[in-house]
Amino acid sequence: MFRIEIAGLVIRIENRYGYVHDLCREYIIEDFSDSSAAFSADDYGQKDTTQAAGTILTADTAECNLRLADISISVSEKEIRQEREKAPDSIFSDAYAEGVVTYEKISNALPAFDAFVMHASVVAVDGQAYAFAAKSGTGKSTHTRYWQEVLGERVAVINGDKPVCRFRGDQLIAYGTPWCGKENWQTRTSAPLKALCLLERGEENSIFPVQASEHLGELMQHFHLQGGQVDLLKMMELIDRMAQTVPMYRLRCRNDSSAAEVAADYFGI
Amino acid sequence: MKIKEGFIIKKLGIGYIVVTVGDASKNFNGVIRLNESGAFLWQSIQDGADSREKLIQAMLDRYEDLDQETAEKDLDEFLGRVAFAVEE
Repeated sequence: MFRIEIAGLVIRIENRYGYVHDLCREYIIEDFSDSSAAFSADDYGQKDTTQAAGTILTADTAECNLRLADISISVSEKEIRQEREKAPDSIFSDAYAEGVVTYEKISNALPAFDAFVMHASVVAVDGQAYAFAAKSGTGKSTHTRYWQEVLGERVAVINGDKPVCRFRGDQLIAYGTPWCGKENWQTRTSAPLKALCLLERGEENSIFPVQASEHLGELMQHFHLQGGQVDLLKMMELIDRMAQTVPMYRLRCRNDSSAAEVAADYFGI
Repeated sequence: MKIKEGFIIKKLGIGYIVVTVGDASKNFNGVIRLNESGAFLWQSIQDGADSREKLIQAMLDRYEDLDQETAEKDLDEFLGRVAFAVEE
C-alpha cells in the first residue's frame, strides 16, 4: 500500500502487484510497501510531518502530506480478470491489468474533485500548457515529438497520453501522471492549459479557433465517458466548463516538424 | 409515449445533452446530444405530447415554415435517436 499525489489529490493505492507501485514511483508521497518505510498505516496519526525535510516538495505535496487520502483505490482479482478478458490474446499480465484498472478507477473518482482524465498529449512551454487531442493513430505523439524538435529543452511533456486536468480557481491545470502511453512521456509538473488543439492531418499546416459546441462529438471522444461508473452529468459539466475556459483550435498538420513551427508561431512561442 | 425514468436533459454552453442518472445508468450508459429542435421535441414529450400526432402538431405550431412531410421525417429521425429513452 502506498499513497501518491496527482493534481493536488492524495490517492491511496492498495496494490497486489509491484508493477503499479513501480509505475507510480515518482508520485509516491508515502510508501508502506517498503520495509524501510518509516511509518506504517497504524501509526499514521503520529506521523512526523518533518519526515520529508530535505526533499523538494511542491506546495501541493506539502499540503497533501497532511491528508490521509482523497481517493482510495483497490483492485480485486475479479476486476483484473475482467480487464484481461477484454483482450484475451494480449500479452498483458495481471500486474499490468491492475495498473490499467487502477487508473480507470482514479478517472472515475476525479470528477468529484472538478478533475478528469483527458486523452491527449500535453506539453508545457514557458509555464503554459498546450494539449493535442486526436484519434489514436492520427499522430499526437508524432506532433509532440515535433514540438520537442522545434523548441528543444523549452518543452516538457506533462503527459503524452492521459494527463489529469483539474479546475483550480478560474484556470484548468494540466498535471503529470504516471500513466502516460507507450512513449513513456510524463513529467511530474503542472501548467495551466492555454490551448486545446484538435489535430487533423492535412496537405498544408493551418491553425484556427473553433467552437467546442460545433465539435462536441469529436471532443467527447477524448474523455472517459463509458464504463457505467462515471458521473456523466458531472463529466459533461466539466467538459462544458473546459470549453468556456480553454480556447480550442483546429490544427491541421503536414507530417513534418513544420506543423509544430506553425502552431508555436501562432501561439507566440 | 413518454420519457423513461432516469433520463435528464440539460442545456450547457456546448449544447443540449441527455444523460442517465441513478438506476437508468445500468441499462444505458452514454451521452446523447440534441440540437435545438431535438431539445424542443424532448421537452414536448415531457410536457405531455404523448403521440406522433401531438408531436407533429407541436412542431408545426413552433416552426412556421415547416411542412407536414418534413416534420414527420424530422420526428422519425429524432425518435430513432432517442429510442432507448422513450417508452410507449
